[in-house]
Amino acid sequence: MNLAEAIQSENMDEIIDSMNAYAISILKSVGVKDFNGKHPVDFVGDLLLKVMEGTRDWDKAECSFKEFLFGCLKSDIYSFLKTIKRHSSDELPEIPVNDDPINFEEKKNQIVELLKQEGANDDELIVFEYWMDGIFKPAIIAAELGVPVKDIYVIIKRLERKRKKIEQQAINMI
Amino acid sequence: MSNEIINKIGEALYHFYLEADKDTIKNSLKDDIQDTVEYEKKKKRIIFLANAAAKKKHNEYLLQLADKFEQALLSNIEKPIAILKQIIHGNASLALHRNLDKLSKEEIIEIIKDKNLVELLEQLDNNEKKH
Repeated sequence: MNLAEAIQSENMDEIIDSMNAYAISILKSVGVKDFNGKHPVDFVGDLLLKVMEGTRDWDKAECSFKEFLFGCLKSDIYSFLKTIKRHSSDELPEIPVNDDPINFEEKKNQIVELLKQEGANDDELIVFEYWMDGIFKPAIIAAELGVPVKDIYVIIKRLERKRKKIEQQAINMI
Repeated sequence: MSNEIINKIGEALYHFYLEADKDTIKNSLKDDIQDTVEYEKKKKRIIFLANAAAKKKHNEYLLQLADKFEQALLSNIEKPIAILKQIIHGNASLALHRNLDKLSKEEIIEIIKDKNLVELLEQLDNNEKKH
């Protein structure tokens, strides 16, 4: 499927909403107020133009158009955050080294405790455990638990609201 | 904070936003977008520009390919002619274009317009490199 066909066959209105929600989620999590005057949706617009102009090469992709766009957006925003981190290293969380397994378990347990202190219920803790085990797709978690995927979406949104606070406390703690 | 834990949370949220249905996304945006009118305007503009850019790129490919096929017909180069013949034989509605010698650029465009242009271009480029 070429680019013109891909863009016409997809519901771009919905894809842009999803990408914008994702961009908001990442940008909010780093706690920086100003992104060189850009709004999250501007990252989406810039990325789509790059794809249309061929700077990001859809023709060589081996996934769905939506997955391709999401992957590019993630990479663009993280690259952007690295550049602003160079200018304001105090504002963003440092990029730490990989953990050894014992360290990881210890830190994970501390985060679970923090989540509990923040009022996380059993459902949230179960989903968090799935994430820590490397199972990320909501549909798979829903299937494993035998619940509708919509329930998992609700739980994830609740976890996401606690994310900033948890990360901030964890940085101070560890 | 643990890099691995941050990465895992990030990965999980990536899949959430990639998979979440329309209503979940709308609810999520409702909390975060203050000026929905402005946002909808921006979104329309992005879609318009993306469509325009995609069409422009498609037309550029079409013209580039039509030029290559036209040159190949004039110079009687085997591989591109074989590709054109294959496309015509595979589509009954293109039967009128069996006489390749007399094809105009517009007719070539008509024949190739629905094909995977990037793939065709790569095939022709590979053929050029071999010769």
